[in-house]
Amino acid sequence: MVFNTGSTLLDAIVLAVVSKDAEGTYGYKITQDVRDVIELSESTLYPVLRRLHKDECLATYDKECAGRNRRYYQITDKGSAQLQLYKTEWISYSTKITSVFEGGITHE
Amino acid sequence: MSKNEFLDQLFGLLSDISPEERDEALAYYREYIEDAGLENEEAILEELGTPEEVATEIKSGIFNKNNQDIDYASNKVKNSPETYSSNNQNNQQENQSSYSSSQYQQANAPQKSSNTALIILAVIAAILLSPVWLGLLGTIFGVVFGFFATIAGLIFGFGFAGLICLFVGVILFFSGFPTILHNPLAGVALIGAGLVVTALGILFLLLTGWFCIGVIPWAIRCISNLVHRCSNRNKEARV
Repeated sequence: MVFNTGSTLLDAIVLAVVSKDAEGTYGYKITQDVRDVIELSESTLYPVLRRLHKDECLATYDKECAGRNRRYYQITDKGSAQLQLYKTEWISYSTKITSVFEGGITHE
Repeated sequence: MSKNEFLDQLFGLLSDISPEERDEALAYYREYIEDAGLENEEAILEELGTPEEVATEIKSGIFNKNNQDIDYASNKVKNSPETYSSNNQNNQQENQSSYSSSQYQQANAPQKSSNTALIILAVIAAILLSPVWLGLLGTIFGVVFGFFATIAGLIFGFGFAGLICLFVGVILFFSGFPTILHNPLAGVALIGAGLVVTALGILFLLLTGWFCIGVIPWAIRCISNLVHRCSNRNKEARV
């Protein structure tokens, strides 16, 4: 992958991945799901999840699982709204880039 | 390095952040390593990087609240055989430009609240200025009402006068005929007066008709223009 993923786009990807599970999902699984799409070091997502939680885009709850605790992340209403905004922005952004690649935009 | 060694070192390296933040971060990484599974422990610890690197990453999230852009793929890019030499040089610039969009979003929030404040101010101003605009409204209402009353009075007056003239004229005209027999001069005068008064009555009625057809629509147009101009001025004042 030659393109860098900025923090805004990473936020959007994480919100999209978390929103797929209505029950919520956990750190390791989120990381693996994000890594299916973009290159990402294993330790990267902690600051992102922490910040999204602080910004109330994600809610957390703890659940006992196989004798130990696991923290689950769920998307909030605010997070959904933010994700919707990112999706709209992404469509307009990617459409413009694609059209310039395909020579759709010409300037006199 | 084992899981516990890794976490112990991380604990030591995070001594300068708050205990809550440290516990949260440690819990996250402990769960993370456990979720990866025992058989993957070695691999995952290698993937995560050294405790120093992880500690730096955690702290960068806590201390650089406003500079959230970190080169997320850095570990991978460095190891990747396809790495472009210009890639890392450009990182700084690209990160800055991609941040601009989130700044833009945050800038939207205060605008909304100032809009609400403006509305509240306008309402307060409207209440405080109520003696002024209530008075103006009353005056306008009075003028309009007076105008209509005048027109109605004129129509009623002219119409009534016209009808009475017609009635009197007809009576005078017909009472002239029997009078002509015994007093021809008086009879002719009565008939003449009757005709004149009837003509006056017709004139008054015509005036009334002209008033209804010509003057009332004109007056209504004038008033609607006046109201329009007033409401426009009100709108301008509000903006």
